[in-house]
Amino acid sequence: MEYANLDDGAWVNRALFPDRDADAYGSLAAIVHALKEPTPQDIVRLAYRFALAPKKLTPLLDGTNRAVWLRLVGREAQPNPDNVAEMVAAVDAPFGQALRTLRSQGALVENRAAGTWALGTPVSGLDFTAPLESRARFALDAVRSIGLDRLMGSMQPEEIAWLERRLA
Amino acid sequence: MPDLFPNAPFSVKPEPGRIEPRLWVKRFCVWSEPGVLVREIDLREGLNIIWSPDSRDGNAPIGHGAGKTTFCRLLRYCLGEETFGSRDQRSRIHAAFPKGQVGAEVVLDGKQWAVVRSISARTRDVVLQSVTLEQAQNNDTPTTMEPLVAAIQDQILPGVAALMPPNVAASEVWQAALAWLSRDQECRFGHALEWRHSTTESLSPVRDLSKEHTLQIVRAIIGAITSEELSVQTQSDAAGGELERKTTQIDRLDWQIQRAQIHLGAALGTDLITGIGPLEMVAIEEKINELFPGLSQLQANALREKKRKASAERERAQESLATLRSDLRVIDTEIASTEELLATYKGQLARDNRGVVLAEHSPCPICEVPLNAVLDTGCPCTADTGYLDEVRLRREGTLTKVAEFTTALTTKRNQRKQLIAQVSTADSHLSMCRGAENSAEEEQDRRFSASGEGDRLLGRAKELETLIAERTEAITETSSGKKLHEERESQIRSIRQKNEGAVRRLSQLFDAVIRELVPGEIEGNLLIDGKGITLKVSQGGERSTAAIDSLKIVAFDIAALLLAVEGAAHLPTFLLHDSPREADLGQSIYDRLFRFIQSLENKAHFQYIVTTTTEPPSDLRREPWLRATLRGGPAQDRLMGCDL
Repeated sequence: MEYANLDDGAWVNRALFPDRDADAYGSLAAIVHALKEPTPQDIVRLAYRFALAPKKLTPLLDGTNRAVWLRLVGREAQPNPDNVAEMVAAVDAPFGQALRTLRSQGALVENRAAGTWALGTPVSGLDFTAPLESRARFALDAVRSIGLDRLMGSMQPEEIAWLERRLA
Repeated sequence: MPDLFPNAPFSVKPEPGRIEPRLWVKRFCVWSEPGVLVREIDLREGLNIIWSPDSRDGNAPIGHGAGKTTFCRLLRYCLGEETFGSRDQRSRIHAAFPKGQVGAEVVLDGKQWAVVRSISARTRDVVLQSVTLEQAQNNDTPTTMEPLVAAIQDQILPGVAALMPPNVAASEVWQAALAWLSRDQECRFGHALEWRHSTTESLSPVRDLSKEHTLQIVRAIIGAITSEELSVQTQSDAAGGELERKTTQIDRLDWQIQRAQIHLGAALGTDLITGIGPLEMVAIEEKINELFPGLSQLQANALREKKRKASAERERAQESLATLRSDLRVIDTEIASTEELLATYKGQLARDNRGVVLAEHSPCPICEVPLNAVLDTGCPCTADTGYLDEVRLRREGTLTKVAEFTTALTTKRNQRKQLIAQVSTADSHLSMCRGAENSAEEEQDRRFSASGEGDRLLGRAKELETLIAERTEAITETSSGKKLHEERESQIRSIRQKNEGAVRRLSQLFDAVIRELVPGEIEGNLLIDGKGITLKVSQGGERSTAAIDSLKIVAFDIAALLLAVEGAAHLPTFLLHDSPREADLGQSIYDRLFRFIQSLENKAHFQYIVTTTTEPPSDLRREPWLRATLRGGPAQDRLMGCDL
């Protein structure tokens, strides 16, 4: 995708009313839709995490991608100042609901033994070019590009803890 | 070669009926306190010598510092001078004699006056007639010096006050004359008209006078000036002053005329304006109108109206452009706001869409059968589909809003395009209006300026005409003023000629005194005119050395004394010379001075007091001529009998 053609703030997730369940479902559906092959669950989980909390991805990106990410996402992508600590929710219920829905839809195929997820029947009725879905795809590409091992080595402890909870 | 025309022997013609000097000092005393006499010097008619010998022995006291000058100062203090020395001298004497007094018995026209003055405070002056010093000293009521001064002025200087220079008050006439009769030794007999030296801190009225005013005092005293001359002199001075003012005015007018001519000539390029004669004003006016045409009232109004209309049109165009620009700013703001709203609703639509899909496919939390399947086949757990309807309805509402804002945005963008075009047109129109206004303004300025320049030049030409007329009038007035001044000066010369008898006689006496003082063929000549005194001594040519110059002054004073003896001057027959020898007078002349004065004793009534360090001729170094001998030491031999 040619990011340069997009306006500044094109991926700002603006709306009138909050709906965390819908956003979680849209993000995960977009990531699963973009899977070309069975993919380790942690990659999908991290891509989802970064799509909904873009500032967590920013420090992990290289210079070019960081500039694109900051330009398109805007304020949501600005990392916290060093003196600000963030509390991580113990339960991410919207992720669980989204995952269950996609499973029941048959959109996500799980290989428990391999620990991978793959695209099943594509979900219809969703706009995968919408801002949130677009940045979910970017996050998936970024996680794949950086590699899970490198990410684990450079991520904040609370993010690793979130990943290990296997909340869904 | 024998003198074919020998000079007549010296003669003086004393005023008839005088049996003693009109004014002389009979006794001089200093008291350290009332009743305690420190010094008493009896004085006499004729020559009085106060000698302070200068010892030939190197170890003996010198003659200087014995108190000769202090004696002179105290004596003239007793005769009415304000002070008797500098502040420093007075302080020292006062410190030595805090209750000290000085006194003199003065004889004025045969009547004796006793003067007792306090050394420390002038308020303690006592002046009484027909009493002795001791009697006056016992008088506790101060009188001031006024009675004696007034008597001297009334009897010896009647009417002289009116002839004095303006700086000398009527009450100061005697003090002015006394300054001449008792020159400061510090003036060193250097100039006939220098009487008081600045270092003596005298308060005499002559201390700050110009030579011209001092000369007027001399002329008034010797009767060489009259009230008629003074009156004519005042008129002459006024005429001279007016003449000078007029001359200055003419110079100024010449400069102004030249400037105006240069300016007008440069502006008109014409040779109409040259010389300082009557101007061809008609021709000049025509030339100005030709070069700088004037405007009629109608033309001026039309120009103003054209400019006013152009300005009004420009203002309208400016307002119209401002309105359009404001509308454009408003539409820009609305577009930005609508874009923001549209983006938000689009985001909301995406979220609603996710919600609808999620709601449609959410599995039953109990049986995990998706809702759409529940709708198709029914859920064993629940049949509630209310949530799905709600999210679908919300999405419909958002979709409507998105469509609404999209339409509004398109409309506003179209409006903006139209406004931009209108602004561009209005901007061009404004530029055109500005150009029209500028050109109307330039035309107005140009034509008004030409008219104004014409008016200005015309004014300048009229001003030049006035200046030339003023100059002509000033020249006429100068001519008559010059004539008046010359007439007055001629009158003055004539009056002076008429009154020159006193000066001529003074000159004769001066010549006689010079001949008496200097042996051989010598001649003295004295000339007084309105500008100064000229004293000449010729001995085979004019002589002017330090010794001769001092001689001239001494001779001048003695000549004035003799003039008074003859009753031809408003002077008392009194003269006080403080150490004339110190002023480079030659020893032989000095000796002859003493002998000459002594010789006059048989011919006239006068008093001449002279102090000297140089010894007088031996035959005069005794009574009655030697009145006191003072010495620099020991202290009791000094005038004040102590060290000050």
